[in-house]
Amino acid sequence: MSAQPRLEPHAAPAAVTGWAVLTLDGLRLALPQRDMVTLELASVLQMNPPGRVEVGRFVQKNRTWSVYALDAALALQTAGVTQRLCAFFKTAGQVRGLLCDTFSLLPQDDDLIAEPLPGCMAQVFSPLDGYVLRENQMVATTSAQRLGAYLEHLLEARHAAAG
Amino acid sequence: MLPQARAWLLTAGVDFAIAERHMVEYLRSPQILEVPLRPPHCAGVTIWRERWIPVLDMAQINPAPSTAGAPVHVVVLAYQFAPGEALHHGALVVHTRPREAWVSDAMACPLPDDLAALQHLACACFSLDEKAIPVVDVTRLFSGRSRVDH
Repeated sequence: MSAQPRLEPHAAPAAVTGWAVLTLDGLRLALPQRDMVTLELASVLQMNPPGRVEVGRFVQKNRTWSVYALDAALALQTAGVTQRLCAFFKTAGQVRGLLCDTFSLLPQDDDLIAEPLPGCMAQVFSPLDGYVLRENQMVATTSAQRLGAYLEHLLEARHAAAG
Repeated sequence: MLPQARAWLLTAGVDFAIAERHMVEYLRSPQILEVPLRPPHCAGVTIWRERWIPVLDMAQINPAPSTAGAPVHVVVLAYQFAPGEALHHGALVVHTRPREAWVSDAMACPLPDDLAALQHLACACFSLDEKAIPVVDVTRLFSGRSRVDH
């Protein structure tokens, strides 16, 4: 019998845990780390002219990912964008980027245990599903799926308004 | 003798009352943090006992004279969905210190038209000093079960 531990040849990769915390114009927004794809400097993005809902694109090899900017009220920013980082997150269908001022990681799921929004604060299209008080600061929690659906909602509203 | 119950009278542009059992604390000029995508009647959240609680403004539910410049205090309220269940907390904006009042069935009156926006939140209404005071159902208010969508 070998003293060496035997490794399972097809052992499942360890589940990704924890949170990615982005700051958007002062708002702290946390997404599960398992929803994240990569972090890039805004300087490597191809930026669009001001006024476009998609503020830029990240092009690498044969893929292009759209980049958006949200302010602290979670409204689309289409001009005057100053964020220096871009966090890319994945939903079932695609990868999108969100510009942010800072980006940090919390390693464990229970580093943020958000309290769900009470009914009086719920809004149909809000991507937020809760808040947590961490080190005397409010952190809003969301998921890539909710954030992606919210961006879709904003884009559709923009298109409808444009006629 | 008619049965009486104690209530707290609150003023936030609109005058209303809550049942005594809901009152937890009165906070003078607390910091209210704005949060994104909140409904118009939600002023934000405040930090209370190392947790956040929602802050609602009744003046945004029922049209009220402008309260710009009035001091913004809050009352912290407790509510539960059924007896024995966990307590939840929320806060309401008030502009003056809460006052206590004894209320009896003899004081009951209909909800006046100028308070019609509170129809789905009021569980009773009484007359005090010739003024109609709706009694707000705190659980209904914070649970959003009777939300007036703006």
